[in-house]
Amino acid sequence: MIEVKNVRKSFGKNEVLKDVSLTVDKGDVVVILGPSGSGKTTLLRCMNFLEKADEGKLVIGEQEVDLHSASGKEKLQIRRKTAFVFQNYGLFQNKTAIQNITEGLITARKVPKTEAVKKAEEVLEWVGMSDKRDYYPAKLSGGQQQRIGIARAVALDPDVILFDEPTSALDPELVGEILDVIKNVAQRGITMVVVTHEMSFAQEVASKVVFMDGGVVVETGTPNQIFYHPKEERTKKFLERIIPQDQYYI
Amino acid sequence: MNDVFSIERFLGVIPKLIPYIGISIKIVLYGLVVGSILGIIVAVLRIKRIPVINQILSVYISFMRGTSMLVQLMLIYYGLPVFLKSLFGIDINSWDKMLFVYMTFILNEGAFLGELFRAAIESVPVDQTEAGYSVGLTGPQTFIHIVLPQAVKTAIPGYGVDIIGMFHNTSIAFTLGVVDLVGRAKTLGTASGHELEAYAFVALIYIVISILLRLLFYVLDKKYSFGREGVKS
Repeated sequence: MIEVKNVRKSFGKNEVLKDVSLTVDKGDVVVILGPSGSGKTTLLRCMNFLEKADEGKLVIGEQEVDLHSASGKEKLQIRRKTAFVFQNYGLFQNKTAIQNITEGLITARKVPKTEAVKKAEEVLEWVGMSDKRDYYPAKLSGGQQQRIGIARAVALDPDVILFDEPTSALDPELVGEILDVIKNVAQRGITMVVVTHEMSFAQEVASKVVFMDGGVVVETGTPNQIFYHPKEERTKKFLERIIPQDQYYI
Repeated sequence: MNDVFSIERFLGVIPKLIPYIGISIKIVLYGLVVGSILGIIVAVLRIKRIPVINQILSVYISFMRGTSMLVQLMLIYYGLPVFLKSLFGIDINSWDKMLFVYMTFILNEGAFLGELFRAAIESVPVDQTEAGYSVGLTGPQTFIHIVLPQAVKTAIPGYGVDIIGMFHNTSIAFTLGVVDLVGRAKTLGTASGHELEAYAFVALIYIVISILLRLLFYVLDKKYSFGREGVKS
């Protein structure tokens, strides 16, 4: 189980997260929705220490760490239990597709090379990128890069994968196929936290939807509750604007 | 006046000049190897922006880039012994002149390469570092496995130009009486009254070295292309 407790974060005078808490159970697919600037991405980045929170705690399994004052060793331990999928793919530009996947296994987790390569080939096959095994990211399209990004995260076999708007940089045609890959990850029973603007994905895949606005969690519930029976006025307004009316009233 | 250049004399100066290439190469090697190490240290310290140290380095770099190498050599050759003697009582007047030449090249290169490396390291997008952290690499692992190879790619062309430039600069050693290639050409010319042949050969050697280095850096550049081919016209 993963718990984020009372996270606060300001950039200068701009308070981005105001006391945000979140619980993710094992096997959960938590989708965080909300308008731009609501703090979704910052929350996700704080969970992986890519951003230093001003306050807050993170519990993963047995381990509790302070999001503000965690030691280098604690950060490393948490990062080795988590994986991150970036909006702009974040592939290592100096590594080929397969090296992108094996790097974290061999260098960080000390997995023997042959084993790491075998694992990497497995996940490459699974995301349908076996034929691009030895390509550098510069030679791959956005969709292909994001498949590798997802494969890299899955290969690490983490307790949770954090997805930061994984389809926002892709053209509309490719969004669907990447979402299918992510759905596949969910079906594997991997715990995930996904920040996205893809409503239909949230409806279909999420086990829990978190709606954030203005740096606070406005409402949490099952997709059914959030999309069809939202309690908060703010949630209703957001959904009205985002989901086409006919779909909303089905 | 029709006896300006003769092939015979040209061939004659070759064996007299060739042994002096070694002096130039030695100066360049010291500047390159020790200067690169110094440059990496300077670059990393500058990136960390440590107060006081950063200001000191900034003055050092401005000085090395703002004054000519000849002035730097003179200051080190005449100034350093005085400085060390009056402050620490160390007498370095008896040191080999070559040591002062090496020191000048190392300090000069440390500043130039420090800035070159710094710019190259800072040109690697921050998402590369974040991605390294996200797969569980430590800071140093991320730097060595991810950031540095990409920085090297950016630094390679500048590095090549820098080394070629260093070769041309070794002739300033002659001002201390250290005879390198250019120094030897000058003495040969003065002694025989025919200067053109000797300098023509020096030019030829510089051209050959430049071409060899450019080839080397072309190969390195390809090796570090990471799948990018650049713009084709």
